[in-house]
Amino acid sequence: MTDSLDELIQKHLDGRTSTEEAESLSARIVADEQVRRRYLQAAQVHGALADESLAVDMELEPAAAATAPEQRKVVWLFAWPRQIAAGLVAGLIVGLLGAGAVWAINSPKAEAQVFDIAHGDFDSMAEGPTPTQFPVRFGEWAGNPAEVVKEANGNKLLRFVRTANVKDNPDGFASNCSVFQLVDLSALRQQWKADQSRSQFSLKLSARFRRDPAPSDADLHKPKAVLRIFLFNAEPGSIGEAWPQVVRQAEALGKKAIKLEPGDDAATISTSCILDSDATVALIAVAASSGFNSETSIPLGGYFVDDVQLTVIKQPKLPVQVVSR
Amino acid sequence: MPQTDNNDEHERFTRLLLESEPVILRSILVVVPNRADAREILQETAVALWRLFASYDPKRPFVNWAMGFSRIETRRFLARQKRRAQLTEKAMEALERDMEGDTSFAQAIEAHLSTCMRKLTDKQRGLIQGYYHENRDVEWLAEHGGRTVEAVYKAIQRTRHDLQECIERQLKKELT
Repeated sequence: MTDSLDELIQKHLDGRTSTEEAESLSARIVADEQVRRRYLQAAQVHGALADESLAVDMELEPAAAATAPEQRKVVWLFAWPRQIAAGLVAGLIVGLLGAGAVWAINSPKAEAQVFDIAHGDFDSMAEGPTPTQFPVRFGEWAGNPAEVVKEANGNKLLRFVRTANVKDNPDGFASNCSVFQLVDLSALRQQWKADQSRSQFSLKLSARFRRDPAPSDADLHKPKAVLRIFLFNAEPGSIGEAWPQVVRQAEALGKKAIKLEPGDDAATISTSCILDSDATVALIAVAASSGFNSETSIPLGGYFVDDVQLTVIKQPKLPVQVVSR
Repeated sequence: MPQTDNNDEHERFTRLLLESEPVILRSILVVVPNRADAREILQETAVALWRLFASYDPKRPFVNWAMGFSRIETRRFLARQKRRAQLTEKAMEALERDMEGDTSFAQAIEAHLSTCMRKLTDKQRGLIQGYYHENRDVEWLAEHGGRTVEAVYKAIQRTRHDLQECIERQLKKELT
């Protein structure tokens, strides 16, 4: 990048131009169509990188990214900035004054209820490896190489053994160890269908991750623990068949990651997504990522997860109510 | 307005806002590149849109209606905040006009950014991940990457520039 115009544009995108430089750039933008074109291209790349739905795409296994672009389905991501809409639902925006109405604010409490998932604490599972394939049925943990281990105090938890490519795609990377479970939402659908005119539902997935020191730590550049939830309107078996491209068809999704140093205290992280009324299946995924795109499997050493929980949060749908004058 | 009607309106508004929000945010970022500022403007825009949603004509595309509001909120925000050097009003208007007139590069980003990201080095992808997706500041990235702040800025700028060039090449291929 030797062109001084490009350098000036890039500098401005990072908020580092002085007032004089911004004025000079502005003058060039006004006067020259080519400058506008260069600026718009750079700024649009900057804007796209700041788009959080892209962040999720980038973390998918490369097979998804390499395929021809599909019409991207709008996803309801419950992380900032899409929480704006959820914020409206939750009554975070207060004090609005309409021209023909008075707005009053309700503040009823949200209700949280644990939604049972199978073997969320791993205690009822047999010790040993979990199936190394994409799950096809509800209620089983399966995915990349992982194993249920028992601690000295009798507690069982899941250890991420090594990174792999869950679809054995020869052109794909083996960047992370993801273990999945399909969750049937049919029972929940009945409840929310009855309540949907009054309430907004969201699903919160949480899990506790821990990282113990291990001999392979030096091979891991920037490993992360990752939690993901996807909601689909699909048959459970079809999700694995179309993985990972199928994530573009998700009705909603949420993702959270954390970096743990070996020996750090265990950390509980959570992610949420709005429960779309069309969703029939939740796919939850716990993972340890190597932090870079590796073509070969990498031992993950001391990464563990325990206490995977799904919570349904029910909130009043319209805390902002119109009161007739 | 009966409660049920208002519920329906709210549902419709939320859906329209969620669908349009990435486009609105990206357009704000063109004239206000700071991401925290752009998100603040987006939030103000959402409030303004909800307040006047009753006047929205559903025959018009929601996103076009919303963009008008985002421009007003952008100007209001910039008039209040003088923290950073800004583009002049004339420059912003010229950019907005051109952006509206030609959407081919924006469409090319949508189609090719994933491919171009794959062509980056692991180091470059790591920087983008940290700077944009984990919202790390440059000082943090410098400290944890063993580089100077200036070197990190240069690397981020170089990476964005590489992506821009890659997308432009893809776009040219499509056009020839």
